[in-house]
Amino acid sequence: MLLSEIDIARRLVDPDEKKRLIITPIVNAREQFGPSSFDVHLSTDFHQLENLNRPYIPLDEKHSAEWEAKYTKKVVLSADSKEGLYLHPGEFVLGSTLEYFRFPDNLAGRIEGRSSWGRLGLLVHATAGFVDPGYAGALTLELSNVGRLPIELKPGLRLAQVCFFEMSTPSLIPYDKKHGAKYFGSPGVRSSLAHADPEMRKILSPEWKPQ
Amino acid sequence: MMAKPESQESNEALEHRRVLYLLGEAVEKLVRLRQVLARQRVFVEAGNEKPEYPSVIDPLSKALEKQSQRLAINSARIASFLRRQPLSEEERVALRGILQSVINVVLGFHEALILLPRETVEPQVFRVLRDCFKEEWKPTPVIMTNALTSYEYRIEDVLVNLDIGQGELEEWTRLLRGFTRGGSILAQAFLDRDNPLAWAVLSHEYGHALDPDKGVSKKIVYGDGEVEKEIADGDPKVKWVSEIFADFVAARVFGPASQVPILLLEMSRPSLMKIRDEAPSHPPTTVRLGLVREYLKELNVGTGGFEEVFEMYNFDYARKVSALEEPERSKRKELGEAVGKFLQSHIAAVAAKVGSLKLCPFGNQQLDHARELQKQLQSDLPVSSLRQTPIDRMLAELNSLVESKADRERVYEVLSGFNEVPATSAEILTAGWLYKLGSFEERLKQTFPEAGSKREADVDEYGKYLARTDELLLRSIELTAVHAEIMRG
Repeated sequence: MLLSEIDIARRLVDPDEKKRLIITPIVNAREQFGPSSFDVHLSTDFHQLENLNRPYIPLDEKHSAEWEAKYTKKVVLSADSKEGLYLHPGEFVLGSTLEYFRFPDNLAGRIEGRSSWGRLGLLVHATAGFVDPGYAGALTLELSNVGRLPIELKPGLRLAQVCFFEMSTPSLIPYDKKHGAKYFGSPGVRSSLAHADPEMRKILSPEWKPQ
Repeated sequence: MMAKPESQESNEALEHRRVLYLLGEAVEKLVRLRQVLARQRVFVEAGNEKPEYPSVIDPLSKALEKQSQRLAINSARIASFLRRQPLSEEERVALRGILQSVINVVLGFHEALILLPRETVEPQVFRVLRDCFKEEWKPTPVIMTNALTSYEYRIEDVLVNLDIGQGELEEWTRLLRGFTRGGSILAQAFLDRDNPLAWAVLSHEYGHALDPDKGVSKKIVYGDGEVEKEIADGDPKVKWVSEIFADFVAARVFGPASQVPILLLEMSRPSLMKIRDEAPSHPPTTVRLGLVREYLKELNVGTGGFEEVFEMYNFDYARKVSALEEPERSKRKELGEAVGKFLQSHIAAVAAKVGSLKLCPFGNQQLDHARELQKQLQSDLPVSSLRQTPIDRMLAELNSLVESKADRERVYEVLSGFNEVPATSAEILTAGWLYKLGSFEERLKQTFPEAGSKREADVDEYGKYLARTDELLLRSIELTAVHAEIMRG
């Protein structure tokens, strides 16, 4: 069941703390509540994979803090910066929402773009717009420009919206209890941790052979 | 068996708390230094720096590892202490010795970080300073230092020591005053780069920048007319007043939390430094702490949640004084009394001057906000903002909307109750301190599990707690700036 604005609002003040949805900060409720969604703002930090110093993303790459420092370009804009981040046509960058969420175990979410930005060619997620029940953290935005002109992005822009779905029954293994929940609690952008998936480790082990 | 006298019991309780703080400092400094080295290794290995650096990082890392092992070897003793299980006198002495020696190694090692690539401070430092000092803030560089304490210095003083020509010096002075407050530079310990709680100290250092050439302090001590005359820069009375002025500035913008980092650092030092001069440049910290507490009282700012640290500092100081030999002990006591008496006669003028500055003052309302934010931090949430309307009222109003089929404006009016107000940096950091002071003991227990537990002692456990607290506070400082910017429209 897709929640209406009043139901989203009621979940924000659910007397049962375990069922309560948390969104913080709420800057301007009048602007942010839509009929069946809640608008979110762009935050200050951005990650982009460097492409100048390597030809492709190999599966067997050893990911580590060193790897991230070497291959991830990180940009942090200040809240009042005069200049923004210019997303050129075809470019892809990770950003995050200003808002920090905590989903109860009986509520799932989906992040979607806002129409005004979609019309300029801005996509806010590449494929992973779904938010599991039990997730806590800022939502990572997979920003890309499919238009033909660069788009200027600045912290505080209302780029996306989140809608909420009541689950048929509460999840027994919500994201916070899920084995290998890699992105739980992240207050900002977190780069891909695909290498941490167990099957990746298996595939990458020297003993592994395709069946 | 005879019951222990009350004062003995209270001293034992204080001593237990003192060692607990010492343990917290030892583990924290150790894990933070390890984090600095890990970060530096990433920086070097990512190919940004010359390969010579690992030759410095490796030995430092090994030496720190030894200290971690030392704590691990003694984990059973530490675990018993944390759970107030009985320890023999020898064990208690051994525990204190181990903790002190870990701290001493870490304090000494911090100096060696000068050999590593120089990092820049986190950008949030400037947000905090700008937020606290409002109209009095003038962009001032903050650099990282291998010294463990923060300090302020004027670049002109460095230039004078470089023995450059008078004409050139004047030109530099003119140029520098154009872009830094009084030519000041603030320095922050490497160890505290990611530790926003320690940044409260920078508000004291910026207080010095608000007193260029100690002109404010000179006026307070000698009056307007006398300032025209040549007053030596090293005049101890002026220096004492300048310290109190900076302390009051820090207390004005940060409240009681402004004192905590320096008190904890001083507590971790093994003994009091010998008084070399007849009139040292800094008044004794107990005197300063006493005056700041009086000042906060006068401002009507509560100190609940911080009193234990203040009390602990005074207990630790008294303990260290009693360990001094004569005549040093008497000299210290006499000096404290003389400086205290002198400063008492000037604090009204200092407070008036601080009150005239256009700062963002920290009052009881900010302390209440910080207590609210502390709860959010306890729930592992960022603390960038506060909701104004209580949850039960919001729920009742939302329910009534549905029942009454309210019109659009009424719905918006009720939904506006969700609007949050951005917190100030001082509120965020005070919340951080309240949270830390209220949680570190439990986290130490988790770090050093009870004997027989399946888990082994692991200082990295405490490191995770610190890193998460840092992460949430740094993020909150960032979020509140964007939030305020959106509201400004």
